[in-house]
Amino acid sequence: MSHTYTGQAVRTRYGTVQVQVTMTGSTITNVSFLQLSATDSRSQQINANAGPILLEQTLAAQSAQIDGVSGATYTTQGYEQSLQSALDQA
Amino acid sequence: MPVADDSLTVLRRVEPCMGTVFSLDVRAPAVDDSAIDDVLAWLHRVEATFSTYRADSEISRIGRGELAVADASPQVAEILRRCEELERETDGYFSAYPDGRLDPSGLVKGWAIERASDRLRAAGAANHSLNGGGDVQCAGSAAPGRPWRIGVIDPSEPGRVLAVVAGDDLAVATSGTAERGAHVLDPHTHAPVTALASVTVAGRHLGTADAYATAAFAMGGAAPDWLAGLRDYRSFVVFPDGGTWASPGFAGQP
Repeated sequence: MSHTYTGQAVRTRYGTVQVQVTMTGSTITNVSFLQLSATDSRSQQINANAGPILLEQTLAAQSAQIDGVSGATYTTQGYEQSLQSALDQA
Repeated sequence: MPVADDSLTVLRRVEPCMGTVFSLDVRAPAVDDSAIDDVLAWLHRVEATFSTYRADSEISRIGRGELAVADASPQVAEILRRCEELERETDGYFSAYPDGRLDPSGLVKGWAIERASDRLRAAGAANHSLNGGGDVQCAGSAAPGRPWRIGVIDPSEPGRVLAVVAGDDLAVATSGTAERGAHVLDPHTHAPVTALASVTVAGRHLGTADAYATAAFAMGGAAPDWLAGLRDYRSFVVFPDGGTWASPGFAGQP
C-alpha cells in the first residue's frame, strides 16, 4: 500500500522547491518534484538536478549495500526542507 | 540529514561548491572538524582559480590572454599538462577546449575531489567518500572488511540504481545529459553529443575517471569499444533507449 506525501514549498535563492514523496510501508519508493522554479538558467540547472544527492541519502538509508551514488547531482537546502516536511507527515 | 540512517557514518558534511553540492561521508576513524574545514576551503580556492563562470578567475584570465600560465597558480600548469595527456589518450575526445575556448572543467572537478580526498586521508580520515555532484572518490573501505559500494543512477529515472560498482579506494565518475543538460560537446565539431544517456567510469583515480567518462560520452556510439580497451578502469554505458553496456569487471545488478 503506497502513500504519497507532499512537502512544503520552500523558497530558496535558487527558486522554489517542492517535493512529493511516495512511501510503501516504511520505504521511500519515489521522490518527485512538484515545483522547481528558478529565476535564471544557472539556477534552473541547479534545480533541475536538485534531487539525487538526497536520493543518495534515501537509497543509502534503505539499502545497507549501497554507500553512495554516481550520476546524480546537486541538492539545495530547499529540497531537503521540503522533503523533510513531507516525511514528517508520514 | 534526518532521512539518512547510515549507521557506519561517523561524520557527514554537505557543502555547496563548483556549482554543485559536495557530500562528505566519513567512516571511522573520525577527524576534527577543523581538518574538514581546511579541505573545504582548499576546494573553494580551486573553484576560484578554475571557474569559467568567474571573469576574474585565473582560468578566465588565461583564456582571454591576460595571464600567462607560468604566472598562474602551479595547479593550473599541472591541470593543463594532464589535459594534454588525456587529449592524446582519448583521440582528442577529451579537450581543455571543448567549445574552442579554454575550459578544463571536464578534469577539474574530478581532480579536485581526488586531491581533497587525499588531503582528508592525510589528516587522518582513512575511510571516507567525497561526492561532488555525482562524482565520487572513496578512500579506504566502507567498513572493516567491506568495500565501498556505489550505485549508478538511471539517467532517465533518478529513483533507480542500474548497477553497483564496489571496491576499496574506489573512484566513480559519470558523464551524461542529465548532468549538464545537452552540453557535453564533441571537441572535434563543438556540437552537443546525444548518442548516449550516460557513461560511468570506475577505477582508482577520480580525475582520470572523470576525464575518461567525459571523453567516452563525447565519442557516442564508439564509446564501448574504446572503454573496453582501458586497462585499469571499468565502465558502464546507458543508451537513450534504456539499453546498457558494461565492461568486463563492472559488476553487477543491484
